[in-house]
Amino acid sequence: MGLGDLLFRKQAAVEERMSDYLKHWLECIECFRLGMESYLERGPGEKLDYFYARVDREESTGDELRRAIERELYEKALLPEARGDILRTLEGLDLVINRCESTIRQLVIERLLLEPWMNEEMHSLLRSTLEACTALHEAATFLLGGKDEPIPELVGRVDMFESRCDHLEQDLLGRIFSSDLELARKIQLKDFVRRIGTIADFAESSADIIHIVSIKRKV
Amino acid sequence: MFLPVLGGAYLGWSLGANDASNVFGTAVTSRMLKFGTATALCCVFVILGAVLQGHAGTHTLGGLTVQTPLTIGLTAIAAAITVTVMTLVKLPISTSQAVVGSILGIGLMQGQLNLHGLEKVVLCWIGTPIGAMLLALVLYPSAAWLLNRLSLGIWRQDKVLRIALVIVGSYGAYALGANNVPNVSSMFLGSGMFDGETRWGQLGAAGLGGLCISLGVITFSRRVMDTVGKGIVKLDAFSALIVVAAEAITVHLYAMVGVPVSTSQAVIGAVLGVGIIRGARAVRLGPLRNVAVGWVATPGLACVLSAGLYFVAHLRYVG
Repeated sequence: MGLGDLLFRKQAAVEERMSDYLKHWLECIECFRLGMESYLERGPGEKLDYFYARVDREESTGDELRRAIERELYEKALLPEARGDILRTLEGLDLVINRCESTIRQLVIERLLLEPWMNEEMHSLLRSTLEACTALHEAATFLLGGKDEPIPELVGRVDMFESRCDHLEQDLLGRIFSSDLELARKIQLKDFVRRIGTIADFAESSADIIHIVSIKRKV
Repeated sequence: MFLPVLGGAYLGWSLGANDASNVFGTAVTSRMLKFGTATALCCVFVILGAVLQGHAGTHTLGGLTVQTPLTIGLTAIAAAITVTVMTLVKLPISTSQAVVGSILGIGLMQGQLNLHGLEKVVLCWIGTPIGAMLLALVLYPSAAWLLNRLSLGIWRQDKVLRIALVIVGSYGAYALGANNVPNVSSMFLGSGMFDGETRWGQLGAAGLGGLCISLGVITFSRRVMDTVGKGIVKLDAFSALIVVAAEAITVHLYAMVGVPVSTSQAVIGAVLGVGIIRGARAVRLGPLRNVAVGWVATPGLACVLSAGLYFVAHLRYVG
């Protein structure tokens, strides 16, 4: 073990855990994508349940890593400013996968069936949500990898996809409430559409945090 | 010989307890460095500074008045009591001012004061916070420019800042030893414990002074570190680095000129410099005002105490 390893042992542990966290985060988003695609194509079923279980597992692993990182940071692994920056970034990212997990869980519990006319727009909404998440993951990776230059463009991409999600969500809600469906069904569908829409909202908030952290670290 | 040596040791101890906060206070209170690591580094570099560059200021202090072993002891005790009192009320004050205040008290009682030497000392006192402030004004934008250009990323920037804080803190401790040890070693030399005319005598006095300061750092510096680290200004790591660097360079420069000055005053000047660059809202004025009160009160209290001790020591029973 070199002197550098000895001096920055705690920091190296946090770095490693953050890198693990980002891997699990991306894996969680990927399982969410596969589960949702299966759901949109075939409706609720075994495949959805399987991917829900995987999303749940990845999200739980992410939570464990997050708690370990927080504990290490509270034990003063880094300088106070860096501690705050890492914690805020982590909290923002965590909200996104929490929402993915709760969205897919809702489908598993409610066995919700979509109206056929919703299918195309739901696919678009899912695609835009996933694009926003991918851009967010890249921004977080650049921030932690020490390359700040691409971050503004990636944050802009998250923002763009979030706006697209907003429009799609609004269109879908408009169509749901102008349809002849029963009020209870309308409310159930609205709840599901809004839940997916908030994933991109959380991604946008998290990207904003990353952007601020990258700017504020300039002295 | 016993009284000046005891007084000098006490003064060295109180100096260490008070002034270590100025080099490692921010790093310790924000837990960038453990207290044990900071004190170990502080002790090593204080002794190094004392031994390698700590004899120039001895002549300046010695030139203020003619001292006997008794008056040296009284001077040391008055200065040490003053510093201890200020440390107990958690004020980072100037040991050099306490020593000069004490010497003045004795000089006034003896009626033999060399005001010519005093001018140099007081000018340097004024120059200390101003010099540190100007240095901070130059260092902050230069170092910020360099750091931004290097674009190190969150992990590497953290490492670089922490290493820099340790290096600059150690340099600050070295400068503290080089500059402030004459406050203590002049007492040992005056006691006759060491021969001030020989190089080995000077080294011995400086080394012992450094050891006494180190003892103060180990045993009692935590409280003042908390005041400096948390109370005066909310410093980020980079600003703390600039403050300690500006303070260390200033104090080291005065060590080379041979005038013991206050690390506390240098820190406050540097903090003001950083505050000017970052915007005045970063600086909390209340505690700064308290410290300014301490500056005025320190030489005053030390002067009155030493004069009082001199008076008591010369009381004679008339039967």
